[in-house]
Amino acid sequence: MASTALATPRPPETITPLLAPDRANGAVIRAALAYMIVGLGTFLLLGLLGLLMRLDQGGLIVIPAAWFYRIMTLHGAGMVATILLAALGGLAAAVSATTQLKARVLWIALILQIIGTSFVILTTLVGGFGAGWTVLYPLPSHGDIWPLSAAIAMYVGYLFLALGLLVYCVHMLYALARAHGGLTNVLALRYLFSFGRDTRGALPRPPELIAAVISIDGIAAATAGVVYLIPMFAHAAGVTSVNALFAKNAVLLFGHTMANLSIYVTAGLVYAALPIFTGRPWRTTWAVVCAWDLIIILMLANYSHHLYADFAQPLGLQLLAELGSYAVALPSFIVTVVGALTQVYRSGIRWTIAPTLLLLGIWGWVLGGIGAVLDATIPVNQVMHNTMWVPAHFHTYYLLGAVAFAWGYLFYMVRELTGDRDARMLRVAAWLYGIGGAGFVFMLFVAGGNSVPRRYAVHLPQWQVYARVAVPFVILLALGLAWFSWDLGTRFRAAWRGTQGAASEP
Amino acid sequence: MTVAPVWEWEWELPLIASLVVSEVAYVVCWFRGGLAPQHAHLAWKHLAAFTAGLVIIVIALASPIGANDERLLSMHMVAHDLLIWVAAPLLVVGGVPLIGDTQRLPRYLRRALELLTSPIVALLVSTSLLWVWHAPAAFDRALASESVHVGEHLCFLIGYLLYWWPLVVQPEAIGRLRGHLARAVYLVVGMMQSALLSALIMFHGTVLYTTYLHVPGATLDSALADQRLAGALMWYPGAVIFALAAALAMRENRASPLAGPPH
Amino acid sequence: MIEPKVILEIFIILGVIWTAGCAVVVARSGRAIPLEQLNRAEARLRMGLLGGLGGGAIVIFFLTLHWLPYANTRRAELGSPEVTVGAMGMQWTWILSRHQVPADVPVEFTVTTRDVNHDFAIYDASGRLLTQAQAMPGYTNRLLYAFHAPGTYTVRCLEYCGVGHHMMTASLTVTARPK
Repeated sequence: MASTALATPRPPETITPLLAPDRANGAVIRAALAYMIVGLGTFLLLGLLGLLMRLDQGGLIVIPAAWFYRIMTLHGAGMVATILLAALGGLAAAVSATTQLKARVLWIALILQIIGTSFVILTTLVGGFGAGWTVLYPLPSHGDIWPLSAAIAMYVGYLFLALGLLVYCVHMLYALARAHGGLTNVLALRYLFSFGRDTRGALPRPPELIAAVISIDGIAAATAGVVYLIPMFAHAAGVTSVNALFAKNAVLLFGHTMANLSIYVTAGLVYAALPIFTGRPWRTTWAVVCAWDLIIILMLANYSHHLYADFAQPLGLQLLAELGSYAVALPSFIVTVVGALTQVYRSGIRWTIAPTLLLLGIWGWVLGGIGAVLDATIPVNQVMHNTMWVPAHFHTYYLLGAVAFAWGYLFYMVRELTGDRDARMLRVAAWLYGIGGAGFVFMLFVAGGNSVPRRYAVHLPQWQVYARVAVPFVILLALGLAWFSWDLGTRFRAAWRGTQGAASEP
Repeated sequence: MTVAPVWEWEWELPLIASLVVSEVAYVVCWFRGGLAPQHAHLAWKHLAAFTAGLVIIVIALASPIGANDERLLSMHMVAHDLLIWVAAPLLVVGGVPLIGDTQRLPRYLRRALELLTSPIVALLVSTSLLWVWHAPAAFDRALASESVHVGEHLCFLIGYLLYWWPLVVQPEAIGRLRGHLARAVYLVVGMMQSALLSALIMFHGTVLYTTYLHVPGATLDSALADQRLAGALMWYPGAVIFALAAALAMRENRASPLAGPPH
Repeated sequence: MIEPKVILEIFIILGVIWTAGCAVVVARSGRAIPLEQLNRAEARLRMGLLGGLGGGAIVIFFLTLHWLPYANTRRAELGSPEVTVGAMGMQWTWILSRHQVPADVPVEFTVTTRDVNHDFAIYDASGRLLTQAQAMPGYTNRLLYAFHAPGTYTVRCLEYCGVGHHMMTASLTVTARPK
């Protein structure tokens, strides 16, 4: 059967390096480095808060309940915001060689997010706010121990975070559309709906396609955030009361998408960096286009799996969420994970730190996914909702998934910019990170399997063992992270200078 | 709140006189084309900015906002906000081009200006002045004595004239902040220290500035509510100002658009 | 009902299989061959996974419809409730209309809250979570459950509700049905 490909054939596939010719994207790479340093640096500090929580739950130290919940709120909100920040930075770098982004806009979005984060930090640490990062209505205004003004400050912080995300995503979509002649081309919709026959427009590289997908969902998340926050402000001002079911739907649509964004953004980093190490281009195939275009909708469709135990939620949304939770696993696993494994299999790859961490992230992402899909099954959720199983699965997604991807990509960036070979001993640091992280999250799963509740400042004696066993693993994890930070810290100056060429500014 | 603001204007002769003199001096220099006529680039926007800055000072200190600063902390806070976050940057935007090419200034003056407007010094000076004057003892003292109060306002104004200077001026000139990273760090540090101060004031459990307890009609509850409002009025508008400053100060090219074309 | 520990075991088994798969891929990452040689195998793997996982997902989805925790499904499974227990959550205690229920009888808990969201969760004496329903302001959720073993059960709050969240417990006694 004759091919019905039209007009211009697709250009030959190449592996796109980080730096454009003449370092034209140097300013954007510097902005990206700023995102990653701020993001991963804050992640380290917030991780220490997490360690405090584990020590308290293990009965090894005693933190007054009020402080525990403040730390918990800061840890949760901070981690979601800061890991996303690092991820977005990496993504900007990954597309910058072929898409013209404006460094200035990236810096503005960064500053907006830092402003938002500063509100969260100050209202929890100084203001006493401890309603949890989900700020589930009406708890923020029912804090016995924090004033209403602290809740308002949290909302304002979230507003700035949403605005920063919005600025980034709108700019990214605009730049991608300009580079590819329209959003339909960036999402390769013609190619998708013609089952691969219509190849008129030049296809985007996978990181560019992914950047468009997550920008669309990022705008959706930011909008959901504003939709949630406006009635919250009104309620705080005493203007109106809010329907609790609506509020929960809105805040979970916002929070679920925010948390999910990080893993999908960092998956884009894998598409960008892994080919460099395997020497195999990762092509924009029909499967890649189909998977990622589907994710736009699927990422949003299953947020109601957080509401299975809210019996008042319409059954249709619950079932949509269950089906959607299963469905969203398919494109990610079948296309991205299988694709990554195919990249690596019989590739002759040298396992330096960056690809090691990228593969660790693939492994961890699926592990988190197994835990998530189990909990997304409604009868299972009945006995695991709001137990430690929930933090178990998302800590796996984050720590052994998105965060591993982010560190891996950062190592890749520094290697490209300095031209240095990675220290071989760094692989040991990756093992520390992997084993420490795996042991830590495994203990969370075990606790969940033993029905230990989540978000308890004090654990019963029979529950404390799970946190105690986790502590040595957290120490290993911390050692690995300290090693990463030390290595990158000593090379950072050189990497920064590597973005500067004859034509670009300091 | 049981302390109601009064609607009156407070025209103090020394204040008005100094503002008028400043404006006249500025306009004269502006018409002459700056202190060094051949090298300054002055446009209407600079005149507008400087004048607006002086108008904001009038609003801050002479209008009912300023007139109530001894009755309500929240009003006092608005006045300070206007001084440091609106008037000061406007004055810098309008006034800096007047100096023109700094190379032509006398050497001692240029060295002093370089030192004072270097980002680290400007940051340290503006931050210290802000925090020192918010200490309860100092703040209450300023409320008690008019001359100390004038000193407080002068300190805030000068401190923030210095703070905004490096962001507005062209990077080649003195007090430069080149590149996005430096500007971002400068803005973030400036934002965070004032946010911290605002939060400390807003969330404080007791009345910090006891002068406000002695205002006729004030109760403990009303003074605390007023203090919370004051903290919020420092915190939230501050965040907006810094976001705005980020949007304006992060430019793709080296020169800041506000200072005029590069030399 | 589903046992949490069984879910944990399933997770571990699947996790081990997945880890082994990754280990095999990594072990065979040397001795390079061109990517084109893998394209067909990859495509077949993908189609196989789509069919297998997709089909499995649909089957499991329909199975789960029989075990939904919502009132209608539970009523069809257990029968009409013979005993009703009012469960009102408030910061930070549970107010139950009765603390004793008979065994082997469908019990309906009407779960609501006076203030913020709580989660009415029943634990057996060994610390196993049996069933739960959120307590939502402005709503009453009906949770049906039949206890099979007499003894003391603990009600815990599982939805973070403030500084006393971890202390919000109540006791429920299940008595054997007289013969």
